[in-house]
Amino acid sequence: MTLLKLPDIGEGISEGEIIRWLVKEGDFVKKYQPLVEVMTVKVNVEIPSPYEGQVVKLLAREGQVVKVGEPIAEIQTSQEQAETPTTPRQPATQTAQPTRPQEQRVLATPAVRKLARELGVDLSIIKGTGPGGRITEEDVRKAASSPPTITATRPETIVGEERIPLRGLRRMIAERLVKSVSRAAPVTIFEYIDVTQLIRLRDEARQIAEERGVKITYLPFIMKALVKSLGEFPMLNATVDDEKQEIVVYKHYNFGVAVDTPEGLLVPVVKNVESKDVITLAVEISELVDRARRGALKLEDVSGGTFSITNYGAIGGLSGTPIINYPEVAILGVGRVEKRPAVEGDQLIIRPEITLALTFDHRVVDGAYVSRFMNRLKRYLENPALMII
Amino acid sequence: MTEKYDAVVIGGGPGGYVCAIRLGQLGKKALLVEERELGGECTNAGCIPSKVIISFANKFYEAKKLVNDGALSGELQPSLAKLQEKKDKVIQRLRDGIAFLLKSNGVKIVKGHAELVDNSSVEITTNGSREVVSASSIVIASGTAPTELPSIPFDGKHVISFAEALSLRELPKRLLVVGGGPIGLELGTAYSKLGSEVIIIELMQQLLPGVEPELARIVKRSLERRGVKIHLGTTVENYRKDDDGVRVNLTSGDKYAVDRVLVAVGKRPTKWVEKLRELGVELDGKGFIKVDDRMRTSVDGVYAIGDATGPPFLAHRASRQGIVAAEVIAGQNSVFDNRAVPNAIFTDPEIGSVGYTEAEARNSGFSVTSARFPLSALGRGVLEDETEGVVKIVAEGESGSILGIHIAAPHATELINEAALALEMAATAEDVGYTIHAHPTFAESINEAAHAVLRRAIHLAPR
Repeated sequence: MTLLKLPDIGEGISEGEIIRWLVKEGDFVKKYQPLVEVMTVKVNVEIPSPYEGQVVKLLAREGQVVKVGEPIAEIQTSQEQAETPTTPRQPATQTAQPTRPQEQRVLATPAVRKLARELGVDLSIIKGTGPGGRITEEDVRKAASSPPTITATRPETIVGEERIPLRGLRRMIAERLVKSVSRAAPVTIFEYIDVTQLIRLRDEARQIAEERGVKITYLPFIMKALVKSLGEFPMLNATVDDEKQEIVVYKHYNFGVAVDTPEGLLVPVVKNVESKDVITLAVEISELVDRARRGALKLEDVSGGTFSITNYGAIGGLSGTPIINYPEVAILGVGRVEKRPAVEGDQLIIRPEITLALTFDHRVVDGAYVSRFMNRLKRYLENPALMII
Repeated sequence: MTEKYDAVVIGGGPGGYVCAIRLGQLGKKALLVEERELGGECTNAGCIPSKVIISFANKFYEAKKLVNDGALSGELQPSLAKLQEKKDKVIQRLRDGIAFLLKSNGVKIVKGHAELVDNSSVEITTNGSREVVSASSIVIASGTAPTELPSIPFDGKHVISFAEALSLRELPKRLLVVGGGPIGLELGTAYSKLGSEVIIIELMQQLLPGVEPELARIVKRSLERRGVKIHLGTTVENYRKDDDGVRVNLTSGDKYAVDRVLVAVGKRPTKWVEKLRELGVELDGKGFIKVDDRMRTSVDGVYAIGDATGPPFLAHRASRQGIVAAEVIAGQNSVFDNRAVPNAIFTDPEIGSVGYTEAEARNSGFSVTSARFPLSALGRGVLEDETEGVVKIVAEGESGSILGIHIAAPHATELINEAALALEMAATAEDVGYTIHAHPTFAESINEAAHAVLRRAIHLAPR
């Protein structure tokens, strides 16, 4: 019998959630046949079978979070089947079969294992807090009273309410956001931007773009302004390495773009923005958005970000306090373009504006630094011609 | 009208009778069907009678040593006829005990042959009369049969299986044991201690295949010191029977004329189990019954436990499976999720073993740290003149969590139960080292081996 383990998917991904088994116990599979769909922090991947043979047992259920290296299925490979004679001729002795543990090693006493069965808790997904990582009775009770993803016992349905398990992408989003707010020290600052000139530039660019069949939005211009401003304030184009307690500052600019998909929020990354022109950026953004909505993002499409942008203005949002795409240091929220009364000199005028919101990790940078950055960004956006200087 | 039971258990060995008692405890109406004698192979032709003989052989051997040392005088001659009487008494007493326990738990016992009609009815033949009983659940605990070697088939007289080897009324002058597994070594050891000239052959390159190699080497050395001849990587080429016994040619080229050949090369599924296939009960590639961790077969309501479900063929495993099956039938959330099944081998020195061997642990991808503590460094070992033994602990490198404990020592079959508890309790080397072990005992060597894992054994010089 061969244990199939969750393979290393790369990109530092350490665990994944079993979304859907594509085979049943007893099925015969060919080599490279997709076995299971796994969702990682970043993307969905299909794990192909490394062997030809028969699926004997599925060791992970749908919805279960599995660590890389943990067994997910037992496969009797065709080689093993060939090696198993129907009549035992070789000298089997009483101990020829080593007395192995029955399942993957979970460190818990029999009493705790029994309690876990009674409470419907899957020990293989609990982290033990006891000595040497042992799972204690308390760990099991805690797991039993936490969200329904870990407990098998469903709460009773009450008339007038619907209970939806926190699963899949929803759970990933939840976990990532909670991680962000629980680790970072987020502060959000706001700024009004006069976009009179930006609109003019966009309109002129639109003609050039349309000749090439590209639809252009404000986003590529904002990206270019960000590259310029971040170049002068590099601490915001950075990530935090918690483990080593280091700030990693980047010389390239990879911007995550929040995309609303039917399944939930995804953040594909536009790479090396500094080396691409506005039209190239427009093309790339629209390709990534399209892939995100079709669920066709690849791992490299969602990794390597240094800064993120959430453009809720495009669907009419005014402003907000975005949550940092951890472990990045900052995220920019872009509000809708609208005409507002403004004071110019002593005159009340009407001009198109957007509201920017920038959330940053105060552990890494202080408010003064970010205010200066925001003023610089404002200058570029209000006078886009400066960007070519 | 057919009698109706909550459960019918087929087979009264250490799996079946334990299951039936547990069913009774849980208030289930249970019927136990046994074709031969209660207690199964374990009580009647396995564990129990072999230990009667081994225990006698050990006492005889010790007495003989005293005679040789001049501390005792007299001519010592073992009486196998007397030994058989003793054995029969022990067996009878244990059978009676089992019957008494079954009855006092409300289990009905029928002596007869059982056949499954479907998944809820069993046909029982007793003295030629047939009866069909109906059962909500059926537990199959039908055991195995000894594996025969085509190159030297059983004849029940000169070429015998372990069952006959336990009933010899005369000491074999020369005994050839085919199979260096636990049964072959245990009986080979006992008969050599009683005075037989013993030859053991094993097809693999190690005695006790699957056991931690160092332990197997200790047992091999000890056998050879008592004059037992051992041929590894060897099997029977051909043989010829004559008036005196059997002339055997081995693949190694050696030839022996012996009066008995004990073939102990394992156990096979019975023909009875084969028929279950027709009812849809799935068997594995070797013909053993497939079960899940709740002892359920592929047919609803039909459970299987013990040797019929394949190796390891151990009575204590069967009993635990029997308890699980009974509890599952009674609606409890019970599973066979034991971390390890201890292995007890009654050689000299004895072997007790539980969990991963070092090689298995490494092959399973653990980062492994291991340590050994020899009996030659142990007070009790020296005072008993038992210095040929060792305790080896295999632990996970980082956590020190124990993966396996392997003991070759006097009473290792007793000592191993502490090790099994350590594994079930997910103990670390620190835990076992921390626990005070009484002095002067052999069990101290487990404590010291745990210290050795942590590189701080007291009675070992630093390396």
